[in-house]
Amino acid sequence: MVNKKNLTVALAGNPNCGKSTIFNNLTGSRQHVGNYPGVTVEKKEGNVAYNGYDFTVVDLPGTYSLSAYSEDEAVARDYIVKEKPDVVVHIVDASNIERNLYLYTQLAELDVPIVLAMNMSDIVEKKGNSIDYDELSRLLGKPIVKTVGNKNKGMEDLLETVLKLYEGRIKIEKIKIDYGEEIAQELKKIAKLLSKGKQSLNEYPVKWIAIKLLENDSSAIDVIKKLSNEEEILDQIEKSRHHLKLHFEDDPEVIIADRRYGFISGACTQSVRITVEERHDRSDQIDKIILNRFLGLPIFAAVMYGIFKFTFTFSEPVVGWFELLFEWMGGAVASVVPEGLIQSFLVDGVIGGVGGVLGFFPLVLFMFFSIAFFEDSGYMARAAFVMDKIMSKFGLHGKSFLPMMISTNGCAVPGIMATRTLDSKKDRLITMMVTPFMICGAKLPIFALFIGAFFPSEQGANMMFLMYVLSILLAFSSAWILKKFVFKGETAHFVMELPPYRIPTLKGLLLKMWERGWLYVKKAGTIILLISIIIWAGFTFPQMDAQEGVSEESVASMQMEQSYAGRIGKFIEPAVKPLGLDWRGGVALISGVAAKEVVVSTLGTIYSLGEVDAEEAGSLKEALIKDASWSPLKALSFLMFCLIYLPCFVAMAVFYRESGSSWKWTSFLVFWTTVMAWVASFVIYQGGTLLGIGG
Amino acid sequence: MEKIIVLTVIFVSIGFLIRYFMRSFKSEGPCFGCEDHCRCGRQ
Repeated sequence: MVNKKNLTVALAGNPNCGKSTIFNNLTGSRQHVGNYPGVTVEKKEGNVAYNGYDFTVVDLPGTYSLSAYSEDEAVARDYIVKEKPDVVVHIVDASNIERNLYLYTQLAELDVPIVLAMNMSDIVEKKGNSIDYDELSRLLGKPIVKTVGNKNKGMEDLLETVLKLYEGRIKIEKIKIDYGEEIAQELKKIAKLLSKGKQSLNEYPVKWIAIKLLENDSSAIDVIKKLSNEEEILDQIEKSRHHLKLHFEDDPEVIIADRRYGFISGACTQSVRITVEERHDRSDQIDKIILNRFLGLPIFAAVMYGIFKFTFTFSEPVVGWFELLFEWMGGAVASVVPEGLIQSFLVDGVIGGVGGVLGFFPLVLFMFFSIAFFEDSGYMARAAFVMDKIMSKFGLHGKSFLPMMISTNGCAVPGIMATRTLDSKKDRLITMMVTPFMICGAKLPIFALFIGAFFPSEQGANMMFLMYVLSILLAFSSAWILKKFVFKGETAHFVMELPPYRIPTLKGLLLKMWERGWLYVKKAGTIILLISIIIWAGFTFPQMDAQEGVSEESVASMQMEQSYAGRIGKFIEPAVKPLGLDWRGGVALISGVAAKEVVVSTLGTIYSLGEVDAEEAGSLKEALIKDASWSPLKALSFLMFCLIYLPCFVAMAVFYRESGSSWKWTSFLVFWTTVMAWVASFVIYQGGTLLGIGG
Repeated sequence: MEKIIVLTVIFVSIGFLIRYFMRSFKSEGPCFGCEDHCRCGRQ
């Protein structure tokens, strides 16, 4: 058993207990660490060498229990039972010990080797509380290690304890939760039937399955479906549940949960000393204002406005420098490479396309930094809580707001993945449908470009904030329509976790900003580059010959119109004309389906190709300002379309997978978003024109 | 010669793009640059 030098350690724990931080500390790998529930949906692996062993550390999704209520709980449970990690480290938020230990009661019943990591132990001390860890370890029958994840404390102790447990140098005790005589009797009857003929229970312990069956757990019922005496067991479960309901006048699952909490409460009463002041700690005081029913929403609006104001104000000069850099690069390449296809390819295709996207790199960094600040401070979880009341009026709950926030904070792909934390399939599909409406990192350059070109610079943050509010309103009203007419049914109830406030560390913020920002650069240098090359080719071929008596500007313009991409643009022009757009806008929108940044890179290529003297070409923003076919109203209509229409290809692929590989729902998403986008842009452009607000 | 170089680059780009999009449908595909590895599960 001990002769192998590799061992697998699974990290389990509640959402927001600092699990991802400990994972990062142990493995050195950089994982998204956010201060709101549900950061990790899928398990993630990393390695660490310690004392001659190679530890494979697996970060499981954060869960409150091991029931089958949501997919992430099932992922965690299945991993522990089927993959059999050598040691399970249960990370407990020591400042919230009673609630966190609920998961422990279920982990312990799985009979797996457990080490308890009491994380955030410094917060316990700051609150003036104290925990007798030795006593608690004795009561729970498992070794306990004190850790402070965000200060990287206790990691070596943790590895050492895991190793000791693995090598058998410390022993663990089986705990037995006293469910009371009535429940124990019923469990015994079910367990007896389960053990009949030594049938396979998919590796689950008999007692564990028996408890889950009493709790009416759907995946436990799935396990017994393969048994020969399935009918007999189901009959017994019904009898037992009925009997317990009569006896306790409540559902058995409620009684079982009560008994588990009773066990925890007992253990904590003997080992945890809590000060009276704790109930009135700083987080509670702040929440009195932040979550106030009248102030909550204005504060949230002010926070979002502050993020946009900060981003636009501070990034503007830096974005200007980046634009100058790419202008200079285009001019430099044009002066070195002789005029011809290769020069056009490099200047118009590569620099015009990718440069247009990379020019907004500073803006993206500023945006990610400010969002990371509110994420890490614990405010974003409050935002979901504040939105809950409003969302319930639209048929959703605050938990659906987190995927939307994640989409705003980066990308719709993890946003869609984050819907896994929703228990109801209908709620999940609705949230997945509306999550792509949010302004993701890829849409940022489009908004920054057009707002910068067509609106006064001091209005930049206001316009961005307006678009953000519009995106939320659209998502909510869309959810309401979908709930009313497509996904009818009750909204599931839930408990929204409120993690304590923490002061974000500068290192953590910079790291998060850089991780997300670097991916933006990477995407620009790979996928955006490839698409830019193809877009350039689409506008360059078939090539026209120079004609006598026709100016170079006219030849360049005719070349684009008669190119393959130009023909596609002309073909769809009638569809986008009522929105105030011409064929170029149409081509940019189509190309944006590949990735939203490509809208900018396509426009960059179009305007660069239209420029006769490559060395004199200005920035894309200047080109748009000079182009008389654009106006602020048309720009607004274009932005509206970009905000709502089809998510990018990758987000659609993830939607397809997450909707249960449903072509039906994926096609519906395509139809729904396109129709919504067209109607909204039409209303803005035609309405604005009718009101005389500049056509 | 110039045309051959450019056309080669274009076709190679198309090949890579097709590969990228085909793999998007697989759960363990390449990184999409979605800025959130732990959630999308791709490296």
